[in-house]
Amino acid sequence: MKNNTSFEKALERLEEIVRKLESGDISLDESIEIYQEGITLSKYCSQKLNEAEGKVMTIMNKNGNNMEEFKIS
Amino acid sequence: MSSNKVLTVKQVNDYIKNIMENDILLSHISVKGEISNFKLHSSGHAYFTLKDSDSRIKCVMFKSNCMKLKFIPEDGLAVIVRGHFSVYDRDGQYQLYAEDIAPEGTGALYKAYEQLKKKLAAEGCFDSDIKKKIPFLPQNVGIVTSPTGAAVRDIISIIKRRCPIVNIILYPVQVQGEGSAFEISEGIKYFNKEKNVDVIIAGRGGGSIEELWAFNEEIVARAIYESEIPVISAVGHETDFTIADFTADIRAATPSAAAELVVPDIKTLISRLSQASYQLNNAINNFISERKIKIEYISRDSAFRKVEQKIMNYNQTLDILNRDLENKLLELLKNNKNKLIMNIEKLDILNPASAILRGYAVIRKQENKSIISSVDQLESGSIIEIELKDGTVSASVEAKQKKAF
Repeated sequence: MKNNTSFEKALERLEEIVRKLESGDISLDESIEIYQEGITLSKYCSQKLNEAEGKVMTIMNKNGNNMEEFKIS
Repeated sequence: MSSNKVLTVKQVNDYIKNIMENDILLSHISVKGEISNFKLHSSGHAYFTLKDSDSRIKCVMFKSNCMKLKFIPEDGLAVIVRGHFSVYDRDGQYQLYAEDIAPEGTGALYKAYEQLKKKLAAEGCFDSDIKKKIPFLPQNVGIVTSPTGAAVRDIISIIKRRCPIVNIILYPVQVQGEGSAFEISEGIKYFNKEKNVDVIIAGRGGGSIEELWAFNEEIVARAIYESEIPVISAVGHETDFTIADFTADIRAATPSAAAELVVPDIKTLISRLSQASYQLNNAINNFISERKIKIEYISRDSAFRKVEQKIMNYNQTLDILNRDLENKLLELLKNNKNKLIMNIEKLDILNPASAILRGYAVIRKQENKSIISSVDQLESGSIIEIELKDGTVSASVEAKQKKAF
């Protein structure tokens, strides 16, 4: 799976797979295939949600890219 | 007429001009009327007539004053013009030199707001089909607002509470006063140039219409409209609608509301994900066990038994046919055997050995063992061998007599 796949798309696809499996309206081969896809999606999503805490930065020099941590006053 | 003093045209005009410019009322005056024949010249000066039902006054407004106007005057507009009277001596025309124009009734800012809104709407800047979708889970959020005050604090703390994994970049600006609109537009352009955020929040906390004015300026509205990154506007309170709100991809009622909109609540996502993962495993287990049960059920099904029955019937038919075939073969064999025996009996008759057994003999010439069947083959004195059933006898021919027919 590409790393830029959006979290939303991945989660929606996972839920779609669950619905498909629950409907039972697919072949055994397909069920195993999409189950594996579901496992991959689930891992990807949980990895996204467990990322490290984000930073809060403020721009120092408006012409360049200088930033420093911003503390709420 | 006491004086015969004759004056030039220029002198008269200068004299009147001088009176007007020094008159207490005429040198600082506000006149109300309706604008007509408004013309903005390429020089930047504006020329128009102020009129009411009975009368009209020529007016001029120089470029330096025109640029300060928040709105563009238009024909038919009821206004109050502040300025002074003087004479344009080339034409001997007195006119009102306008320094400021204010729409009568509603405020100038309101008029400016209405005009810009109309203009941008006509250009399609507010069209709903050009609105960009706000990303569901942005990694980086850009904020264009003042680094001090409640708005920035609210936005950051709400984003952090809802979704701590998000990175935030603040582009600090003044949100009111001279130059603030330019700074805000630069902030939006900065993020578009660096492409370091997935969504931008531009806004400020509540204030008077003058304090919120930067967000009603064309430069800010256009920067938002032209932004390739989705923009959420977050200006003032629930009831404040700015031009920036109309060009933004989403209007948030307040800065706090913008923070709620920009990121999802991570707890909801975690529970949604864990539920989906749980259901995924459940579903595959059910899928497989349902099929197991189905297979067992089908194997007990009458349709299956019918097939079995059919096979057994065929087997039976086959057995019968086999038995028939065997019988036919046996019969055939028996018939053939009888024929064979008869043939063997016939053959037996032809067998010389059997003739010998009955007392006949075979006569051969001794020299070449050839069988003698005619007297012509023998001479007197020929040696012959006589074969009998239990041996041979040697003899010599005494005489021969040929049968006469």
